[in-house]
Amino acid sequence: MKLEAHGIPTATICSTAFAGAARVQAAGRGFAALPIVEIPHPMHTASRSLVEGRAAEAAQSIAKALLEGAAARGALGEDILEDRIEIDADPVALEEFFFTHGWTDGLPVTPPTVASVAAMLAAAGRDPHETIGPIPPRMRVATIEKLAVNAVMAGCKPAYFPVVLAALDSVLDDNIRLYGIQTATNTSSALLIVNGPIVKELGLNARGNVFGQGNRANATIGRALQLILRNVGGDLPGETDMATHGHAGKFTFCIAENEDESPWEPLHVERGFKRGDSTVTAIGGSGPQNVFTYGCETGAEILDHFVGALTGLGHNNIIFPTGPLFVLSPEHAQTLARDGFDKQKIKQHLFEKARIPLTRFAARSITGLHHRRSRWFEIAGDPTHIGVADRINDINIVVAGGAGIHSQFVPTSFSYEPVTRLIRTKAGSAK
Amino acid sequence: MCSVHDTVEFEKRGIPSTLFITQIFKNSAVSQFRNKGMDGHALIELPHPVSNLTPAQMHALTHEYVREMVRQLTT
Repeated sequence: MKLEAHGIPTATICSTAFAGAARVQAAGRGFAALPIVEIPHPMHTASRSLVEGRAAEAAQSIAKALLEGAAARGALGEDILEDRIEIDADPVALEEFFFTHGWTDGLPVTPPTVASVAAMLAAAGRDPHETIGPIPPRMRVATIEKLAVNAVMAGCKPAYFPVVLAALDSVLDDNIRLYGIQTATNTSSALLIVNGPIVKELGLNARGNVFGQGNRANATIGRALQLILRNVGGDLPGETDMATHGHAGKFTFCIAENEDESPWEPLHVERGFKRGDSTVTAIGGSGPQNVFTYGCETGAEILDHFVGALTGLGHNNIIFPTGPLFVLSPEHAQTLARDGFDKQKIKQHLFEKARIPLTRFAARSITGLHHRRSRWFEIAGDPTHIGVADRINDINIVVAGGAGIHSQFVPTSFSYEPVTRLIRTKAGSAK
Repeated sequence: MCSVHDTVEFEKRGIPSTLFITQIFKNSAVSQFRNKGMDGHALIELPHPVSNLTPAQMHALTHEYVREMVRQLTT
């Protein structure tokens, strides 16, 4: 679409399974008539002769698209306008109303009344008519009021709303590549990590079960972001979201750092903020992989397990240049600190040791790695292996969770780097 | 937790048992004993964590609590 915008004729080639999603996404970006050439699905297992045959069949359609050019720009995806409706207050009817309209993630929502939305808006101290966006995948613009509606639906307390707004702002940063996270077959979602005094003020969980259920702030802040992306951004499974499996973090994916039990400076300080600032950091992440260091007593033994988790085939940090995220339990962090490892030494260790020999990959995979991880081959100085990050500081470490000898390897994807935003509270000041 | 389950199963079979639990898991153990019908069952609370102790520290901890273990199993 960027090429078309520059007047360069294009033909977008999609397999049949994705053509519908491509048309929806093109319309959302204002190119309803983008020329899309369909070829049979799937492609990646097709033989060379079959691919050549399909290419010959598609050539005429491609030539037509390029020579005749894209039709005039289609209508832009409609912006979400203010709207109020009156409906039956019967609880069952209300619940069904939202399901019927497809305005939920599959769980019941809290009906957004005029009063509850007003309370949400009051807590943020922002102009209800201020607009945010465009929000992918349909590139819609919404008012703060519409975002507040979704925060109410998610079950947020009004005091959570500034975190939701900061989270949305962070995922809309180009470095997150939200559009890719939303629309790809990969199992990604934007993970939110909250730091600073607001964690205690709102009662966010940074301890046991931090990725799990049971805490309203974590559950509903993460859910509010996802409902905004669905109800405002138009992110719908099977239509724009083509995830092969998805993961539980697509309902809600919000943790807080356990700063009290961390031996190191927290993530937001590492990223240039003051300890007293409250921030939210976003990054594209898959479901966390548990690293259980059964029988390990030393920092070196724990790191061996981390390296082992990172050097299996198939996880996203082999293919994506994002750099993995480790969410360390306080016990792991304290044992590592006791044995002389700080964050930088851990990153250095993982960068140097978590490398997979290219001999483990098929030739086609190696070709793909040279394309998708080209920066690694340019700068790492190790042409016979693939590492899990192109640069040491692309690896991120957060301390969160409760008692136990477990840490989480969160394979990251799509995002160029994490994005951190200050959480602005009602007074307009940053906290 | 498995250790509460095992303690209860031993007791059901008439084998005197007690439970070593680190401090942070004590409330959970007490609650689970209650849920399994053995409210107030004996246990021995250790400092948390033990997973990163050296063998010498583990031996010292064992010596500190072994008498209490014997007492609980024999009374």
